[in-house]
Amino acid sequence: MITLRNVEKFYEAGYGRTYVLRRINMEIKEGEFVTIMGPSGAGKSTLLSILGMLDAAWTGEFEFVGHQVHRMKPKDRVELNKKYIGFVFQSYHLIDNLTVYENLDIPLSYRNVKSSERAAIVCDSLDRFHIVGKRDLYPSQLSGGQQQLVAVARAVIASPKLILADEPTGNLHSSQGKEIMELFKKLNEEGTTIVQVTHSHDNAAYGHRVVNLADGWIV
Amino acid sequence: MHPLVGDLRRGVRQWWKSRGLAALALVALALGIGATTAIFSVVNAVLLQPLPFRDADRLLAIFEKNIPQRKSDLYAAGINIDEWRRRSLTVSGVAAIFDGKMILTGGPGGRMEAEELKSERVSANLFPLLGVHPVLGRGFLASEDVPGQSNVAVLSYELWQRRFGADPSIPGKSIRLRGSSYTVVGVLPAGFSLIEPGVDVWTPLNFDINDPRVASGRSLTAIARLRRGVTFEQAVSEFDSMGASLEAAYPAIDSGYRAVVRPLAEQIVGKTRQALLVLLAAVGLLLGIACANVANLLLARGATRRKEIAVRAALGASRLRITMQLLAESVLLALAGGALGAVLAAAGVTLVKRLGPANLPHLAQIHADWRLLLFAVVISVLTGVLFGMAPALQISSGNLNAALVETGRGGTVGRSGRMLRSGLVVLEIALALVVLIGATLLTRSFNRLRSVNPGFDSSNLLTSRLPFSAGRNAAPPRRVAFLRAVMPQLAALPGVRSVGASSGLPLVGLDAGVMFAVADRPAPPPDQRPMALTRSVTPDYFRAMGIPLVAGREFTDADTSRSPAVAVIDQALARRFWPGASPLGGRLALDWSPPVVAEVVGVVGSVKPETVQGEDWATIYSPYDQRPTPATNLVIRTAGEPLALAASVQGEVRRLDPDQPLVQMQTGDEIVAKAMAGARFNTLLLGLFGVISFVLAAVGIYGVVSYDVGERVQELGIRMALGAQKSDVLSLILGHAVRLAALGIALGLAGALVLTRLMESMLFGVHPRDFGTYAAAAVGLAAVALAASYLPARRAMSLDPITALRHE
Amino acid sequence: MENGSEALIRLDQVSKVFITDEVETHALAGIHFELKKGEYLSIAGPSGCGKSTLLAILGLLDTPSDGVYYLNGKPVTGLKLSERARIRNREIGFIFQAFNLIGDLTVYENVELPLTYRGMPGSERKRRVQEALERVGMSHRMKHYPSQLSGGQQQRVAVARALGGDPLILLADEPTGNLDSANGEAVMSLLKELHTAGATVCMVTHDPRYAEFADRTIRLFDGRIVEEQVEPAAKH
Repeated sequence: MITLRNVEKFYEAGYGRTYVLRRINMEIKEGEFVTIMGPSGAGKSTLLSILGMLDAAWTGEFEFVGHQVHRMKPKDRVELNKKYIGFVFQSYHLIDNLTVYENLDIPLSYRNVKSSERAAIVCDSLDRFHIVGKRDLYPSQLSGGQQQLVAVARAVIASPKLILADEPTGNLHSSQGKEIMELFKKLNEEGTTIVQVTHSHDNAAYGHRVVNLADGWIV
Repeated sequence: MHPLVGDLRRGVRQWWKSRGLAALALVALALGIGATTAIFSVVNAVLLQPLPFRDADRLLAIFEKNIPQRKSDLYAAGINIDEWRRRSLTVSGVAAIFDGKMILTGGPGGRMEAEELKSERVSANLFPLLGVHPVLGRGFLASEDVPGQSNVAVLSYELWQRRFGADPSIPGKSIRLRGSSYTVVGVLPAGFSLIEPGVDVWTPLNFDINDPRVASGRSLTAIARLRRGVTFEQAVSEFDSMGASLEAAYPAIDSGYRAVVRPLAEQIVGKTRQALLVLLAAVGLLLGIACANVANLLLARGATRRKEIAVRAALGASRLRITMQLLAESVLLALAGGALGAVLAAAGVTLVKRLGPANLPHLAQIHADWRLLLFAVVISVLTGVLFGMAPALQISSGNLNAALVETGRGGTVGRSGRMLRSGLVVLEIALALVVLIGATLLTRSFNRLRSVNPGFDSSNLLTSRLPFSAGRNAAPPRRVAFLRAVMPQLAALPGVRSVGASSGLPLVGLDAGVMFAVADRPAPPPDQRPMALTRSVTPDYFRAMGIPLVAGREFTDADTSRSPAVAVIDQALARRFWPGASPLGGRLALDWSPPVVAEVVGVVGSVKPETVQGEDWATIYSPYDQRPTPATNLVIRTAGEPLALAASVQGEVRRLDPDQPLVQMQTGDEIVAKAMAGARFNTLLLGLFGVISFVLAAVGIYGVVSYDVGERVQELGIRMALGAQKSDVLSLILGHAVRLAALGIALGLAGALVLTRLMESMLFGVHPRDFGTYAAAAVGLAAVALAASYLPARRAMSLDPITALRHE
Repeated sequence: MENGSEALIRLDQVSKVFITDEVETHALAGIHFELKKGEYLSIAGPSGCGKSTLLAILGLLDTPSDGVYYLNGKPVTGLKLSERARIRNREIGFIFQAFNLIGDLTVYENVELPLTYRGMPGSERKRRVQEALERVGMSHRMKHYPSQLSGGQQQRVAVARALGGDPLILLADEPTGNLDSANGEAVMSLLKELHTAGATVCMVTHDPRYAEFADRTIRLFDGRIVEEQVEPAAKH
């Protein structure tokens, strides 16, 4: 599904290049659940952004479900993101002035789904994640765990093939974190490929394998 | 060093760091403060300051009106002034004024260069009635107000300074006016001005009620003083009932006439009041826009500094310290804006003085009002303080940690701050639209005004007054002879096409009029005898002026004092008295003394006598030879630039008679421009305000959208991560701007519907609710709002999602 | 280590509850510990365990929902805002993960900032700022702005800013979180050096490598202290 060859990312600083990622080669197959680990500043989040087409300033080759991403225009990369990828962030990244319902609706609004269908999909999702009672609340009215639940629901609402999760339990209590991880496991068993970044070995245990990063290198 | 000094120094540096923002705020403040102060200073001097007379609110101006003919503000007849003096119980001391012109030809030191002065013959009780004391010498004595004793004069302060070198010993010395010797008895205080501005010399009226011309002629302005304990309404009703009994006593003079009594102050400022109030409203709106703008900029700046403020608090800055620092910055900005505004206000007042129409009362007394400046600065300081301290208030909520680790929870910024700023921008757009609509209405009205045909061709036309009121050309036969001598000389000058002369010019004033009737028809009752303007003109006058001949003939050199009386009438008169028929050969009975019957030999096009927007007046032209008037104007049609001929025209007149003054040389275009000066002035100022408010609104919406983008960076990052294309981002940002603009425009349209009613009397040929104007202004403002938001929207589109997500 | 000396910091059954419309979140529950003068304490635990909330309370940036916090023997939980600001200014030196230098001010002015809030005379401020910058090896960059420095350099300036006020205690919240490992190491050895010279340090980190720099580590999990250990590596 994903192949990275010699992917590198650096900043031109005044005194030379600062590398964030160096010579990354990796392959992820469809249906895998991969964990990326490493200390702060190792480049984990950057790698995740590149996989998610959010970051276009890198060198090397990146093949994604048969597309040569490194040869694609930004607009088409966004289309790949739309079609295949869902994101979960450590700090949830729900939009504060939209309700739970409206937050879930955002990805659909960018995907040419008819509005009648959109309503149906959002309602299904509210049911599936047991958050029907929260549909008209704003994120600030929810606990962290509930917010992350909504964020996961939003990530999978457009049925992505790949979920990218950046420290999804980082801001949560252990019990809430466990709930989210169980949810990922279930989604993975249903066929969704998952790549997560985490500091937690417990969370890593939910996945199939671990990629360790340090100072931009795979170790 | 006191901490406050440090705060001020840091304040200067903070603003220097964000100098773009500071410059915008400064410009907004300076424009708002400057314009408000300048216009308010004018309004204050003209409308609000009491007239510089004793108990000025008890002074009245009295005119007459003819009820059947619906003409108001006519001068009063001498007999009526005499009767009011004797009969009235509500007013004391009715003074009378007769406007005129006098030629000054000599001073205490002998001959002086001739100058025509605006003069007034006044009754001796005028100055005591007003409570005005001469700064030098005295006013008139009652004993001087009789024929034979009246060769005394009072000078204006300005004339005394200008022509007599402020000679303190001038009282008692003699000067030459209209060819006779007058003894100067006094000099009035600087800036003295009653109804007519710019008068330089006063002489006694010589009110002789036994002279039938004085008794029946309507030529006097009356000023009176309400007695103590009497109300204005009582005076009005008394003059009404006196009118009824005077009508019975003097049917030949007073049939159909009544007095018009109004407060002197209203008489003086009445005409300009509406325009000034509209301008004042406009600058008020402008100040509102400026304050909203500054508030917005400060709020936006506060939002970006939340984190900095939180860091400072974490390092131990107390709330007081932070408040003081923000306060210092806000006050600094407001004071700088106030200083710039003061400069603009001073410049604005100078501009008003230079551009203001000459009939704006008290023009000389206008100066920038520093109390008002202070008021405007205080308003802006308050705005600055109120909105500049928003970040300090947020600290009081105690949640420092949340601000420090803002990315920690949630991430995107809440609703209340944005609501406030959006509200301000909506307000700004609404106010700007009101000003803009007002300005557009006035501009359209002015364009209509300019396209009105005044009835003559004003281009390539040179005019000049040639007064015959004194000197060797004063006698009627000499007037005719002088004109006959000078006109061929002038016509022979290279570049001159034709030369004419007339007693009165279009757009300069109603001038002389006469009551008349069509002879051979049943005579109307005395109170219904129609009135027409009269002009004495030479044969070439119509050609020189470009006034078209519609029927019959012009005058010829054969129309002399020895030939039968003839008249040329204008179309307005022809249409009224010979509807559908030819007036040629008709005869007019003119109530001159002695009465004259003249045959109509021609019809010419109507001209506007007074103002471009005013109505046409029926006009009767007589051959100059048959009725030589002392007031004469030369009109010269030129081939090229008219003023290029000024010197040679002057030369020809001098050559014939070096003592004959030729004054007030001006082109036809200048006459038209003067007639529209008031409208031009209002249009210019309101247009300027329109442009300013347009710019401020654009800056405002740019600022709010720009900071909106800044605050929503993370949200935009999230949306991009969720698959938003650049076009989605663009429509999200522009959509916000469009909603604000639409709301502002809706409010502004509603406001304009209400406020433009104020302008009704200022508009000519444009309805205050002219749909096209409203639509154009709204579309223009909407376009500017969109353009202003496109820049930040573009910036939003080019955001890098990953940086956006990490944005703090 | 129980040598009876007066504790610089004592937390007595401190808890913190965040209440929103719908839910109560217990960020801290019944935290109880002491910190003596000259100690180097590290607070460790996974993300979301309550470390940052605890540090915010220690720094008087936040107030506990329950319990008492004694600083230098005096309870500081119920103080007025202005008094809290004064204590933050005089007794506490902060080092943040994101450096939090003020971008509009030079290095010198950033370090000077807390001192200006004390009404200290200019000459005294100048001496202190220079001394603090020398201690972190940044005195040659005094006139530069934060944006002209690397992350490691910025954090050294932030340490100097915390030192300049001669605080009772240095509070560091993931000071290496935004740095690569080389720069992170450098900042950690700087803190260690300061500690050796007598400073009291309290640091939050979830990086086990850096926890070892401390004398003592408290582990938090779901808002509770689950383990307290003396770092063997820190014995000297």
